[in-house]
Formats: sequence, structure tokens, C-alpha cells
Amino acid sequence: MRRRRARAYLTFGVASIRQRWWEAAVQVGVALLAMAVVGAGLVTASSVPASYAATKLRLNGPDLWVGTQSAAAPALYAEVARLSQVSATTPMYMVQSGVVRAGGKELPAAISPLPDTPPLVGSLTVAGGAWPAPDANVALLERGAAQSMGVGPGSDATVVGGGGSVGLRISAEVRDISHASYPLSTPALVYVTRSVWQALGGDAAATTARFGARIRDLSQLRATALAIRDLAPAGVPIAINDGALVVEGLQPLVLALEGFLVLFGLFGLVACLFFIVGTTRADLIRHARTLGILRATGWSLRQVRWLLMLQRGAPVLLGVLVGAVAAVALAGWMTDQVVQLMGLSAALDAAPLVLAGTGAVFLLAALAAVRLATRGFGRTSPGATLAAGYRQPPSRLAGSLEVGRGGIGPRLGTSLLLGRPGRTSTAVAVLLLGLVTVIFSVITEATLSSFGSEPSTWGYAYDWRVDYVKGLAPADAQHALDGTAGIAASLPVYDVNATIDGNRTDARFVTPAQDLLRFHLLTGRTIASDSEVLIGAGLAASTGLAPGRSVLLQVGSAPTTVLIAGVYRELDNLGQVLVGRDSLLLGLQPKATPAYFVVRLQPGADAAGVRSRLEQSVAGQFVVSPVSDLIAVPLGNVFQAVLLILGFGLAVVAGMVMFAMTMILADEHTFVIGILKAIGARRRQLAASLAWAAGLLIVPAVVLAVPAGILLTAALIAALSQVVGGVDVVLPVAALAIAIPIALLAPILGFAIPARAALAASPLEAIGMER
Amino acid sequence: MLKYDIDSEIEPLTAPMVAAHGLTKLFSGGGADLRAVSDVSFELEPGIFAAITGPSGSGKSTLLHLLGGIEKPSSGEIDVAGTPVHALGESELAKFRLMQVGFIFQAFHLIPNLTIFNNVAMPGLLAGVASAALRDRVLRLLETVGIRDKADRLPHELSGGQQQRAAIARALVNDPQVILADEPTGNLDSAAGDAVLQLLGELNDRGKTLLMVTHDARIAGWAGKQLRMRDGRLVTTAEA
Ligand SMILES: Nc1ncnc2c1ncn2[C@@H]1O[C@H](COP(=O)(O)OP(=O)(O)O)[C@@H](O)[C@H]1O
Ligand SMILES: [Mg+2]
Repeated sequence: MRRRRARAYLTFGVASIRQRWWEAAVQVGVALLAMAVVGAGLVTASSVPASYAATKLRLNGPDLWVGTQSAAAPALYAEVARLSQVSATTPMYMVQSGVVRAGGKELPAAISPLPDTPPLVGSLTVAGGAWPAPDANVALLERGAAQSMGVGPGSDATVVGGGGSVGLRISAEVRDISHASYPLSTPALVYVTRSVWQALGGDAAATTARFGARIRDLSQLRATALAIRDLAPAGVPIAINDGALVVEGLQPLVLALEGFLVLFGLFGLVACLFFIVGTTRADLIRHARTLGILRATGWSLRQVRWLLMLQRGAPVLLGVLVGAVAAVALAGWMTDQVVQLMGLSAALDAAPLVLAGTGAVFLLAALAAVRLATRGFGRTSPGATLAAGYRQPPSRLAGSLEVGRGGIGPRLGTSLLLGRPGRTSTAVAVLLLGLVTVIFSVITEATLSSFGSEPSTWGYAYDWRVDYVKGLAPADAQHALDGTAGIAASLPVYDVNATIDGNRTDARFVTPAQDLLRFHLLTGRTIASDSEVLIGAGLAASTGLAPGRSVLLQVGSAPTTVLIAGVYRELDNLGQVLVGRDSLLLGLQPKATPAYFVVRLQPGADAAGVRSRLEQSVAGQFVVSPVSDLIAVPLGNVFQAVLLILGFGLAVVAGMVMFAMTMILADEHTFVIGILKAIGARRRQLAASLAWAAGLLIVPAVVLAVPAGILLTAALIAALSQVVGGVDVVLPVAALAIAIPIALLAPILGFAIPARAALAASPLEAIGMER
Repeated sequence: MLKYDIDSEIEPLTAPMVAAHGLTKLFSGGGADLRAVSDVSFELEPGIFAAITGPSGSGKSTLLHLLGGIEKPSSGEIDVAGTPVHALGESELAKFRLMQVGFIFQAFHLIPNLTIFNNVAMPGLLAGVASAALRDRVLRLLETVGIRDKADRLPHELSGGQQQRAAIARALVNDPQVILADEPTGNLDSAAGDAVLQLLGELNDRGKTLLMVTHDARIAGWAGKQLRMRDGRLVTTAEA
């Protein structure tokens, strides 16, 4: 009995899919795209930490990292190695801050000596080239930095350290999981051989040092970290980080990526559900007789509903399965892009579980959509269903054809559409959704690609950021800047770690009333005294701090109370930044030194000439970064690519759904067209009425969708802006003017293809086309 | 030198209303061509009631479709009310269907989402008849066929007999001279069928040429002319 019923379902299911293959195809396609995009977002997010874990395992990496002043480091290193909870340590890496120049570019550098042989517990892999001999005149350059400078193994480079400058060759690229790599973290990591290290001044020229430790019992990670902290002598700064710090630093970017993917995917899912509801409703009307016969011959309502669910569920299931494969491929690519940059090897994580869960949600949503569409279906008796192919008598609307008003084209067109108001309204809704989706894609794409590309957006009214080697005294650096012709103004910027109201943040201190940095206020007011600070939008969003609050600010070991005067738009560190007056910092730490200078050139100055004069004046101990390099968003190219894929994918989804919807609608008119032909309607009259019908369908959708799409997108971007600060909606009028007509091609074609077929067919053929 | 023309001598007083000469319709498909109508020739004088009879599948409907300009012949000539139907182009054919003949289908073929009034008015609208005149005419026709009270109903709200009467009214809107009916009572019970037949009979009495496909020997017996078909051929033409 059960098997026979299953065969009955199958017979009907297969028959209906064969008859309306494109409906099934659209469902497969939309489910596929939506699944691929949502799945890829979720899998990528969990794969980034998984890649870290996998790489750490492969390198036998440490569980935590300890950073401290170079002078105190050897003693601390020895004591940590003796701790019973610590099973092994990495070598100790001394760090000189300096400059690396290669390929005509320069970057601030963190220079460390490379162990003579690959260490047992490690964070380094040599990506291109071999582990160099201790006496070779070479350096290893971290991969991201090498890419950004456009150099590779074999290139010549100059490395300027704390105690000297060396010309050498880059022998290999290196990946280092002790840091998020350049440009996620500045400076660029450079590893030099022992002989080069000595030439640069050796350990004496190092400012900081860092080493990693493996913990015997990972449940004791925190306790061990505290024990290590207690080992540091009083007054010596020490930073202890979980190894996964690298990944955490990336988390906002990864989450943003995931968020976009999931958002886009949900758009696709909604389109898919709309389509399912629409086509199911249509089936109830179109197959009213068949369903009536089924019920009259003993099928229960439940069984009929099961049949409909099978018809929709099967294509969605197929789409979900293929979409899962596509999601894995897409996630693999994105994870690779993200983790390559961090020196990790890509590893996909939790794919089966996440994908199965997402797929199940999609499938259930599809079945729920069928359930929704069949609501109230059972209320009519089988007899009534048998008799009435048309359940919604358009009594009021049928009047539109009453003798005496308008031409035959508009009248017939209106009545073709309004004959099935349920179907038509679904089509309009799908069209609306489709167009809104396309508009959303175009605006979001334009907004995000222009996001941050203009320095003035971020209040950067300078041309260069100038970093200096720590061996250079700040006063000499300032003197060199003041003495170089072509420089209009320069400003020291102090940059330290701080804690505000218990939240760690980057704190920046500058001279008041200058105009190289003009903080763009989002709320509140500017700083009026030393005890006031501004906070970045990201910090405000993540901590809930708002203007008017008095909070505890801790810089180094000195706490003070400050008033938050305002929230400003900040690009750096996703806005996790605080700004105060330099006099505030110098009051707390009289010996603080500027982290870098910002410099404005005189109008019309020859930048290259000024730059070489400036660098010569301090023997190469400056790193000059043009402001446009500074605002390049890390992973920007990945975002760009993903956004393009998403925008295009969504537009395709929207197009497919719109195409199918109007195709079904026009297809259903075939029968009526046949009758009209048989009683003498001319082709021109029918074509006119079909054109009117298409216009009546599409014009209101466009009129509604354009403002709705723009407003919705603006609202979504405003929400995003709350978090990041300063994301201004860009309205790409030209792109919209191209995209909307292209998007409209889909529904127009969908309407035109069956309409043309019906017009070309003989009357009897057209009548026979009724399905 | 002027020759004596024997044809003009025996030319009938009135030209035929419907004439077919060597009419053939081939359906291709499934390998061999199917001759649904094969070399059919006949003439019907104006005002006659003619019946087409024959077993199922013998080509009756196809013949009627050819005469009504709904299907195009593979070869042969058709003349209806002086119009050479076989020679017409697409839009002239539409005009012919609109003005010269009224076609009644076995399955009614009313447009499901238009009211009965609009269904009946449709040929008039397509022909551009002035609205006041059309309204009067539609209502009068609905009166004639006895469903005046159903004007604002949708087709599915009517019984089969009522739907067929609406279809008859629709066939009459542009006052064609020829009515073509394909088993108009085939889907109706005998009472409803009789009423429809009576209606068609009255139309014939008022001068319309009526060509009806029927299975019913009794009905065929009333016809002034019987065209009997088998396997696409006209086997006999019997005058009453
Ligand atoms: N559109 C068509 N395509 C192919 N064969 C057709 C078509 N229409 C009718 N036929 C065939 O032509 C023959 C005559 O059909 P029809 O005129 O409908 O017969 P009747 O009305 O006498 O029952 C049948 O064999 C039928 O199958
Ligand atoms: Mg027939």
C-alpha cells in the first residue's frame, strides 16, 4: 500500500517536472546559488580558525606567545623554559625595528635573526626557497610584504636596522604564524641570518623580543599565562597572547565577509520561497481539475499536499546538494585567500555539519512555503474543485472589458493579467524582489568599492606617513623633517596601547589645533581639554561607550579619568581607536616618543625628489608611506571579488526567478490566445494586448522597486555604518541605469518567449497548449 | 470568334455559400503522413442546414476547421460566402474568422476569466463595433439564447448547456452568414442538447447557412444535406 502510494507520487512528480521542466530548473538554480553563498559564508568563517589550528599542528607551533623588552627577555626566557607547565619553547626572537627597501618600495620592518636550523617548536615555514646558511648575506621576507613590494626570492633588498644598514638578497619567502602578516599587521617581518643580524648591530640594537611556549595541559593555559606574567620584573612591560591571536585579529574581516555572504544568500532564499509559493498557488489553479479528480478518486488532502511538496522539494533538494558542493569550492577559495595572507595553510572545517544544517533549513523552508501556499486549499469540495478551473472570480476586474472604454489592447491586456489576480500579484512581488535585489547589489558594490578610497573621508589631510628607525632620535627626525625643502608641515603622532573602561584599544595622541588630521565627528564635539578624548566608531559600537561618559583610561601603568567628548570616523583597526591630546600622554608618560610623523608636501612639490632628500638626510632611517597605500583595505581584493561574485550571482538569481515567473504567466495565456484567434482576433491585436499586459506587470514593479531598493540598501548600509563608521552610500546612477534595463530583460524575455509561441501557433495548437 | 460557353448555360441561379474543391489536409508526424481530409469536394447553397456525419476519427472536425479558417488546407480550394479562404494571408484569415463565420466548439471554449457578457462581446470588440450598439446587440443575443440573467457570471458558474448557448451568442455577434458547429450537443444531456438544436434550427430558419458535425442520426435526418465521411473521404452526399 505504502509502496504503491510512493509510486503514485513518483508518477505524478515525474510527469509534472517533465511538463514544466523550467520551473524545476529555476528552483534547482535558485536553491543552488542561495545554498552556495550561505554555505560558503559559514564554512569560510569556521575554516579560518581551523586553518590556524591545522597549520599550528603541522609546524608544531607554540600555544602562547610572550613579548617583552629586549633587555629583560633572556632572563625571562630562561625562567619560562624552566616552568613545569611548559613542555617546550620556540627560539627567542630578538626584534629590531627598521626599514626594508626592495623593488623600489619601502616598508617599516620588524627584523629578527633566523635560527641556524629550523626549530623544533616553530612558527615559520619557508614558502619559496631553502633555509639559508648562517653566514649567507640574505634575508627571508614575509610573504605578504614580499607581495606588496612586488619582490620575491632573488631580489636585492636593503635592510636598515637599529644599528646599521645592509644590502642583501632575499633568498626566500617565509610564512610566520606568530603574527598576522603584512598588511594586516605592520611592520613587515624580515628574518636575517646570524651574520647579517650582527652587521645590523645584533641583540644590542634590538628593542623587543618574543618567544613562544607549548603548554603541557591546555586546560592550564590561562593559569600558565598568569604564572609567566608574574615572572616579569616590576616595571617591565610584558604581553602574553594566546596563539590564536592572529586569527582573532582577522575576525572582524572574516565576520564581515561571512555576513555579506549570508545576507546575499538569504536574499536568494527569499526569492526561492517566493517562487515556490507562486508556482504552487498556480499549480493549484492550473491543475484544479487534476487535483479534483485525484480527490474524487480517493486521495486525501494530505496526500495531495505531499504530492505538491514532493514536486517542489525534489528540485530544491537537488539544488541544495549541488549548492553544497559549490559552497565547498567557494569556501575553499575564500579561505585560501584569507589564510594565505596570514601565512596559514587552508583547511576547511565543519563543512559537512554546517552544510547539512543549512541544507536542511533550506529544504524545510521550501516545504513550509508549499504548506503556506496550500493553506485553505482543502476548503472546497472535490466537486467544486473539479468544476472550477478558476477559483478567484475576478468579478470586479472583469468589468474592465465592458463595452465602451479604451482600446482593445489595454482592455484585453488588463483582463489577461487580472483574470488571475493571485498569480499576477505573486509575479509583481517576485519582480519587485528581483529588481530590489539587483539595485541592492549594484549600490552595495559601488558603496563598498569606493569605501575608504578617499583619504579625506578619514580626515587624512596629509600626503605621507613617515616611520623612523628607533635608532634615530625623535628630535633628529623632527629636525630632518623641518629642514627638508618641499615639506609644508609635519606632525608627530604618538601611538600606544591603552585600556579604556576595561577595553584594550589603540590610543593615539596628537597636537591640538593642527590640520593634518581632521577628525570627522559622527556624534558629540571636538576635544576641548587634556582630560577629553574622542573614540572611533568601531570602539563606540563594540563597547557601547558614548559622548558624555567619564571613564578610566589606562596608558602603561598610569590611570586617569577622561571624558568622552565625541565619536569619530576612523579607518585604522576598524575604528578600535581612541584619540587624545599629546599633552595628556606626556603628562602620564613624560618619556613617550612619537610612533611616526604625518607630513604634508608643499603644493606642486616633486614628491620623489623631496623623498630622496629626506631619506638621505637621515641615512635611510625613515620609511615613507604615501597616504593612499595606508588606506588600502586588507583583503580588499578578496572582498571585491566576493562582492562581484555575489552581486552577479544575486542578479542571476533574480533574473531567473523573474524570467520563470513571467514565463509561467504568459504561458497560461496561451489557451486564451488560442480561443481569441479562433474567433477572429488579429495577431496585431493580440500582440498589443500582451505588450500591455507585460507593461502593466513591469512598469509598476519598476516604479516601486527603484525607490524601495534604494531606501532598503541605504538602510542596510546605514546599519553597517553604525559599526564601522563613515560608510557613505554611493548611488551609481549610470550603473543603475544600465543594470535595471538589463535585469528587466529577464522578465521581458520570460514573457515574450511563450507569448511569441502562442502568437505564432495556429488557434487549435494554442488551445491545445493548455496544460 | 465568340464561342458558345456551355458552363454559363447551366450556372445555378445562386452561387454556393460554402464550396470545397479537392480539399486535402495532411498531418505529418509519427513517420507517415496522415490524410485527415482527403480530396473532399462539395457545395452548399445559401440558407441550407447541412450535417457532416461519420465515425470518430473520420476527419469531420478537421473539415470544419478548414472551412472555418482555423486550420489551413494542404491543398484544394475553399470558398465561403464568396471569400477564397485557402488563399488568405494571416490577417485576412483572422478577419474572415471574425466577420464571415461563427464557430461553435464541442468544448465551448469560452474564455474562463471573462464574464459571459464580455465573452459574447469579444468578437464585436475585436471588430471595433461602436459600444452602445454592441451592448444592445450582446444583450439581445443573450436574450435570444435565454441566458440574459447570466451576463455577469463567469463561464464556470454556468451549466454546460448555458455555456454552449453563450458560445452560440458569441458566434452570432458579428452577424456571420455561416455557422459552423462541431458536435455542439456532444457535451450536453439530451434536454439541454435539444434546446441548443432548436436554437440553431431557428437561426437556420432565419437564413443562416448552418453546417453541423453530428453523431446523431436523428439530427442528421433533419438536415437538408448530409455529408458522410469515412477515413477522410466524403463517401456520400445525400440530399433530403
Ligand atoms: N492536429 C493534428 N495532428 C495530427 N493528427 C490530427 C490532428 N487533428 C486531427 N488529427 C487526426 O486526423 C484524423 C481526423 O481527426 P478529426 O477530424 O478530429 O476526426 P473526427 O472529428 O471525425 O472525429 C484523426 O485520425 C486524428 O487523429
Ligand atoms: Mg471531432
